[in-house]
Amino acid sequence: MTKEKIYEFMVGIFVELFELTEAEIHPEATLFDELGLDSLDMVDLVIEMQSQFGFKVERTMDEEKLRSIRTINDLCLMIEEKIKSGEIDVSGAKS
Amino acid sequence: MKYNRVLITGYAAISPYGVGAGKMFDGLFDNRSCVVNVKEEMGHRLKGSNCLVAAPIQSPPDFRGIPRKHRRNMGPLAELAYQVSLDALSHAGIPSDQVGSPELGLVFSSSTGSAQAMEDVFRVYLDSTAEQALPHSGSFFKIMSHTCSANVAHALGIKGVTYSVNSTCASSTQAIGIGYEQLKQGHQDIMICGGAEEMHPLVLSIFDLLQAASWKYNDEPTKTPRPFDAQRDGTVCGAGAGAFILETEESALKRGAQVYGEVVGYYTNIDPTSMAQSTHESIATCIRKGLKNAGVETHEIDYINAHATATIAGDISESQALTEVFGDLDVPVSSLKGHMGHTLAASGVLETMASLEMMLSGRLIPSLNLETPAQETASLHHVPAAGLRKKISCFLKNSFAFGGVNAVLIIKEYAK
Repeated sequence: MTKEKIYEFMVGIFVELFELTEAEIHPEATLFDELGLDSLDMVDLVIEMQSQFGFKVERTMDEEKLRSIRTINDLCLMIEEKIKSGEIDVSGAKS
Repeated sequence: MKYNRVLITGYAAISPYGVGAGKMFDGLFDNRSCVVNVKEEMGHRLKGSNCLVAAPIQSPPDFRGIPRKHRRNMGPLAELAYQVSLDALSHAGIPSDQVGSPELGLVFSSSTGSAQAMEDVFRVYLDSTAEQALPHSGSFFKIMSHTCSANVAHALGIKGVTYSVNSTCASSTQAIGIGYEQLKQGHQDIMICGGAEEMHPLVLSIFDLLQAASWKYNDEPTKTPRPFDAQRDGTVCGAGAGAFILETEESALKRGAQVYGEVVGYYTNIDPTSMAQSTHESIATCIRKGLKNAGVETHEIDYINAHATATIAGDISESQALTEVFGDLDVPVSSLKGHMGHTLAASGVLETMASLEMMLSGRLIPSLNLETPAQETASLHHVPAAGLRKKISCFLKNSFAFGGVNAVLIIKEYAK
């Protein structure tokens, strides 16, 4: 899955889940300040990403990483890393 | 201790007649029934139910205007609660900066958390083999028993006293009573008091299972329920929501608020005899204690808005209790269940609102579908089918619930 494809996928999630328009979303958009998300939205985002990409957020390993995420680009990088490490099987991802 | 006087300064409704208290008053005064056959819409989900009639909300509002951040935690129940609370504040003319005052509180009621949300969650959760089967973070916030009060408080920014009441059909009468007590004792200046009920097959099925739901009039839905009538065969479940703004006299006068009435008494008790219904003795005790708290004598009550859901046993118990307390006094009695069905947790607030309008207009609404009073209810002074013009200065509202919960309110015209 290319970087562009991951970003496109993520935009789709944000539009669907948070009722944002595509115009409001860009790679450096900050999740809390710019897009107005909160901690409950982050919970929903994790649930949705787990479902869409077929991975499990490990509380011991990933929570710290999630807390450091500020932008959509950060999220995309996290997904990219998980694909590279084989944690996400792209062939099993929903399309 | 000096107690505050408690005034009604605003209200709002979403009833089976649709959105707005005015729509409800028009429908009631026109004696229009809201009861419809729901076989087409809900029949496939009413497995084994004999009852196929209900009083759903006609033209329900579009809730998509509620900001997503709040809507994500609301089931249909909390959406209704939010809308009537917002509308009641507007009707009362409470400025938005006062809504966030620590002196403004909230008591909201519902029979349970959202039944639709419970269905949505458990349908996924119990069937799923996935590790993460809960659909989203808001799932529990829609189901929890205080979903109405919590969601309304968050969406409106309320910071005062907050309670949630969950005693099915007596819920919103208790909500008004609790709000009244908070104000009377000086804990708050303003209280939003309300109740909401969403339409779900679970509720209809439970009433049917308990043989408390009407089933003989499925093909003639507007002929049921029949409060106090000899041919009554049970109640009809409805949906809706309502909210009152109650306010201390001092607060209301200070801001020059329009006053619609004064809550002067409230009482609630429980009858441990049966889960399904209250005995006439416990109802009579509740009414007597309510009147005593109000400092009102029986001859001062000009109208009684009965609970009377049209169940065989319930109407008899209430009639016996009223006869015990009021004796031969000519106090007109009617029930609004024939018009709107039984809106359960919303019934207390909606029917109190309608009674308030009857008091303000001097016109009493009869019990729709009451043609021949059942022998056991014949001693009551039923409002004639054509209605009745009468000066009303004080009325009594009764509500009873599963579990044997009784609740009464006494409301008067306001005079300085």
